[in-house]
Amino acid sequence: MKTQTYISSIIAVCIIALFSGLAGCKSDDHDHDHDDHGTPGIVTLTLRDTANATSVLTAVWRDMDGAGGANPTIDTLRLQANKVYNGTITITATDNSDLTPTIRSEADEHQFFFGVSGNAAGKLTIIPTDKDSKNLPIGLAFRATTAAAAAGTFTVSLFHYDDVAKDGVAKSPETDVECLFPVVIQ
Amino acid sequence: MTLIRLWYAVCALVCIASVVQCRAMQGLSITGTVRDSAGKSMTGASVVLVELQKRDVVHADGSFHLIGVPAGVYTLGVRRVGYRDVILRRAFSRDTVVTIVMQEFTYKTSDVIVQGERQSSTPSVTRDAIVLTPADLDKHRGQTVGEALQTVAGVTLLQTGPSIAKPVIRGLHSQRVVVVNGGVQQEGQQWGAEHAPEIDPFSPNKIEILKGAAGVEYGAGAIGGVVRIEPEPLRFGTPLSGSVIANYFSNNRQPAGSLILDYGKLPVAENAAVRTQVSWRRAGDSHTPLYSLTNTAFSELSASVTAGIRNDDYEAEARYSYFGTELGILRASHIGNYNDMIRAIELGEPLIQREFSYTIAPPKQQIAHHLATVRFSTSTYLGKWDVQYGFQFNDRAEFDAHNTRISDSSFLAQALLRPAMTMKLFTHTLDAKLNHHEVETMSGVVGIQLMQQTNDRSGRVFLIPDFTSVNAGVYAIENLTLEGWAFNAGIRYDVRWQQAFPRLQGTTQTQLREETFASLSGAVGVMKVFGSSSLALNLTSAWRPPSINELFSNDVHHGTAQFEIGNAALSPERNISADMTLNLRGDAAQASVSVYAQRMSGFIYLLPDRTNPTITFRGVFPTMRYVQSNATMAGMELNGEIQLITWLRLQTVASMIRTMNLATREPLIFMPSDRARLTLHAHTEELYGMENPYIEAAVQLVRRQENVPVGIDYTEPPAGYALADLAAGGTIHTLGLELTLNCEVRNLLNQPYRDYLSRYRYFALDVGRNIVFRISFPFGSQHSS
Repeated sequence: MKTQTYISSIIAVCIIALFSGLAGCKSDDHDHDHDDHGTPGIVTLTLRDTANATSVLTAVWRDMDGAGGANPTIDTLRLQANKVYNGTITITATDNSDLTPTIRSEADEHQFFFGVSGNAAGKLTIIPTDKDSKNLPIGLAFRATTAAAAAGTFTVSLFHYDDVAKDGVAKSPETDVECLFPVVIQ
Repeated sequence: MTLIRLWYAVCALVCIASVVQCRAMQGLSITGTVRDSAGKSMTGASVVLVELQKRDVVHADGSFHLIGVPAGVYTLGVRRVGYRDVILRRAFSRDTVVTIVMQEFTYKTSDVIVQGERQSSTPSVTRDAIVLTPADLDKHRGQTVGEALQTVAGVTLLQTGPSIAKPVIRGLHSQRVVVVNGGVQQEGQQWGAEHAPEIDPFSPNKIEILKGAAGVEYGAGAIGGVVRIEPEPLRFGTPLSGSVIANYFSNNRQPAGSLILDYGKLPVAENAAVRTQVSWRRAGDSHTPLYSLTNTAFSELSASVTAGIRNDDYEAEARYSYFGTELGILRASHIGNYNDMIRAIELGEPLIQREFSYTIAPPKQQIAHHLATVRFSTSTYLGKWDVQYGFQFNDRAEFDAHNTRISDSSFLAQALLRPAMTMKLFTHTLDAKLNHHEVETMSGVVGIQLMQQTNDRSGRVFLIPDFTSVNAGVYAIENLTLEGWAFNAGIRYDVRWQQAFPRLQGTTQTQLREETFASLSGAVGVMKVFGSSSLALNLTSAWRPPSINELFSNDVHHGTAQFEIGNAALSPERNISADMTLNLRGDAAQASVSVYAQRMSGFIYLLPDRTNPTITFRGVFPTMRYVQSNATMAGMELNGEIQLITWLRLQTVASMIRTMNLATREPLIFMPSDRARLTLHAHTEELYGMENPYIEAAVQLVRRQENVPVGIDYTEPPAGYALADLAAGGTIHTLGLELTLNCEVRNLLNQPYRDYLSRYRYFALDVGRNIVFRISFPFGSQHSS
């Protein structure tokens, strides 16, 4: 097998020599991978206890190396049972620019949806509290109401509406952001 | 070690083609007699000692004399009109007497099959390609090249809407099928299932389909089959002529047309000819029986210039062709994540449906393909030499609909103008081959193929990296025909070297990867001819190095909503296949039946990695990893034709295939389902002033694909379906023109259906009724003068 590899490499070298006149070899010294300023990298949930303004909870979903690569690091959202929280969402791009104002300025074309699954289903209720120009929910601000202790998954999804009209109820066919947080109500 | 020995054997075969000079000082004489098999003197036949150009003419008594020949190895050629050339190659070290028997060109039935009726250019006599003639192709003018191939048993289409159709030969496609356009292997981004061959649908004059592995003729990669597309030969000696074709397709309101201008009598050069061709297609959204397919419009423009010169000594041709297209991707098929995909499937019809439009919006593809080629051929006493150089530049840009979604409107608009991925692929090819003269009844070809390729990608999508590769192959094929029998054997050695710059798994860095693959391909075949029928058995073995995306892909593939991860440790896949074909020809009926079986070692496919889904800000995607395992594939094809009465013919084309992944003991995914097409064709010579009128009704029956691996696909295979087609046409003479008219209704009953191999089947139905009008006429002189 060794001889075969040897012969193969001789042939390969000969051919490369033959073709070197036709086209120069490409080098890897250029970088084509233009990064879009707008690729979300960090999704931060901030929740304030309505009964105690000093009690602030945060949960961060972070993936700065883009799709694939290392898996994101995700905080667990830890809430107290039988409480009401005022929540906000901020989204930061992989280049550290804040995307939240952009979403707010295009609120008519964006809407967050929230899902709770696992044992926590039914024990955590989320209601968007902000409205766009057509009085439809946005979801950058929301109210979270907890019931009894339980654990599950909290899903935050952002949908963009350009090919279909936003009606405040239906999801658009295309998801912009979808992050899953483990949630514990204790 | 056997590999090395075989390699030397190949080298030796190639050396035979070159001239060995080995001279001694004193002259020898070579004398002999030339007779035919009945013993008759071949008076007047020319005898030549090729290397020294010493000639004699056979005397009345059948003798010839060549004197003053230095000792050495020479080629002795004998030629006489009406007889097969005789070529002898041997060492002459002393005065020698040679007895030569010439074979008359006879047209016995066996020869008719083996020599006369073969229309295909495949160099293996035991293995005939299916040929689509200009008449067959005219019936499909204006549609993609792939669509014309669908009438062939064993060929199906992998379709991404009306504008993207890839041929699937016996279940294999993309990088496993070689497409040869005008003698040059088409090099685009074939790896993508939604990347169709970039070929002007009006340009083919003839298409040949070779089913099954053809690694010897076409090299590493031709493991599934070959589609050979030939433009019309130049019209030497004919003054200005040409043709006009115009089409209209009702379903997507598509006009299409082509203009060909030929000039074969240039005042400057007697033996020169030129041709120019321009073709154009412009389509809007296609329609299913229930709704329109938003953003499936496309626009296509192609042009080519060919110039050639031909004389007694050589033929030379230069050609440049351009193919440009901009095509929309079904808006509803472009989704954000896995959950969107599941919602779209559950809904059962596209979420985004708009009014008919010619607009091509993102997601879309923009492709330009340039091909420049120079061909030279000449006949020598050894045989016919063909040398062809080709340069191709494939420039592909793909635009996402959700490129940088969260951004202000002006930035979004700007970002959408920028492709998510561009790939510029530069390919140089050099093919040289020698079809040697028949020696007794042995014919054959030896050749080399070289290819150098560079891919330059940019954008955010990492499905395929930058790479440079060099391929080289050397091959020899020999055919021997004897009374009632034909034999064929071929062997080839290929080397592929490549250097790629993939993005490392888990980082944003690129790295340098270098690989060399090398292996052998081989084929043997035997054919028994009885009467006007034949039975052929062919055994082939071919291989394919893992393609660049299988090695290094590392991104979300939109439209399939999966994260595809290449495997740099993949080794080449190899198959060994057996094909038996029975051709029966009678006066009123003919049939061709093929059965085949193949074993694939290291078949490369995508396997879901269920325990490691890819988590991105856009949600969760199933992770798919390229893996390989052994697999078997077997199937059969039937092509039958019965002349019921003088004006009525019944045709049947049917095929089935069964596969198994030997690692999982399950069928392979995405294999064509069983299908049959029945056509009733009525025609006559003349009717109310119309020449060659015909009417044709066809039924296409497709079974549901039951043989699928469990739990891999997003959804169950769609139901089987039956479609009816109707076509009629003929030629009329009016206004001094010879007008050929044709009208076709496809999917006559407007049947809603989904094909298993349609990539849009998750999102939408296939297209509904389509009424096609075609008109064409030649102009100028149609004959050489």
